[in-house]
Amino acid sequence: MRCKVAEETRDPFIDQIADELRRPVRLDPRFDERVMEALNAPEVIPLHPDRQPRRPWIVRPWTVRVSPIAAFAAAAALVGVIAIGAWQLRAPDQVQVATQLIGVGDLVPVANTGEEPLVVHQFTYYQKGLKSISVVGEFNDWDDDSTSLMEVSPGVWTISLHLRPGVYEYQYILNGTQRVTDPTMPQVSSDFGSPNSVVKVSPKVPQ
Amino acid sequence: MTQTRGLPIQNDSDAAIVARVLAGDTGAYAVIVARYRAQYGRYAVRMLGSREDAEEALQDAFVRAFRSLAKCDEPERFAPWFFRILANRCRTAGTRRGRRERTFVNDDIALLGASEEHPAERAAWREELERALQRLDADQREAFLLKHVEELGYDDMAVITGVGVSALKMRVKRACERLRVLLHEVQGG
Repeated sequence: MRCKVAEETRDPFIDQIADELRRPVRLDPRFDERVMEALNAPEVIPLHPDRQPRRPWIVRPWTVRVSPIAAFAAAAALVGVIAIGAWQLRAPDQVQVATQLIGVGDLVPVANTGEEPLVVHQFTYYQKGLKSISVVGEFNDWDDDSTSLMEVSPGVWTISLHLRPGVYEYQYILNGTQRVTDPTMPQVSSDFGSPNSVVKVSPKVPQ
Repeated sequence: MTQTRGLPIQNDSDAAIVARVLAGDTGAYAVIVARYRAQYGRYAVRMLGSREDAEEALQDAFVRAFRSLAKCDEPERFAPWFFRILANRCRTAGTRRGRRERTFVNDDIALLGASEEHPAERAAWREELERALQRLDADQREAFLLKHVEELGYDDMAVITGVGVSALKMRVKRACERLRVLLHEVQGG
């Protein structure tokens, strides 16, 4: 139902309120300094790998978590490999045996920070005849310019984002103007009166 | 950080400053921050009801705008572009705060502003007004501030909020009605 709202006329009471609210407020005297310092701080979540190209996995830094026993076994095996390598010319078959002692299965790659590892979540929206779709939500501060989906086949729009595990509210924006929810996901009512879709991003299950 | 060099740029247009920042003169961004801090800080404080939350939202908005500056298609219209970012940041901050605590936030410094020269009654009225404002639904508060305090037209409000003009008019109308009731309750004792 469309509600017809008349253009409001000047209202002295509302004007009085507005005048009061237009008064300046005090901010921290160091505010500008803090902002300029923050410009150099790294972004917390690399949501936009296309803006900052990811390095190939082979040169990306990794941290490995090794249990004490596995570390001891790996160190012992490494010493064994070196020792056996020295004897390689005389006993080549022993090298093969030694390399199999390294407990590769005990080496678990983890994220570079102390936070929960990022998880890849794919957003997909199905509709033909659109010029653009972007997704806005708590993961990108509702920035409607930052996260555009790609039409991978006619009417199939998708993007994969790296997110921390958690629950996120979001919407899609069709053709830059129309906000819609994801028909495949649950909805909640936002504080701003419009419904939001909700997605739960679960932590990656260790292999 | 690259520092601003050469002639003073305080009076340069937003577009000129944006161009300097994009060319690598990061320090020039300080002029943008100083230029819009007060105006948009006021909006954030009124919207969030707390100086601390407002400063956080405003700082995040400035940082986000800086990192997205290359996407500002009309740098001569930096201000409305930035306002949209800030409004989104305030929405996010408001949602998070709403989850934390559903009660309104009071912050005497933010609420009273520069109040040293004003009598106690005036300060009390301001405090009641801020309380009433924080009792509005977030969408009504946002619409009211954009319309009556920032004095934006409904078309601009629609661009900033992503909400249709009719819905915005309704929100403003309801906000006015609710404020009238809340403040008359106070005045009527």
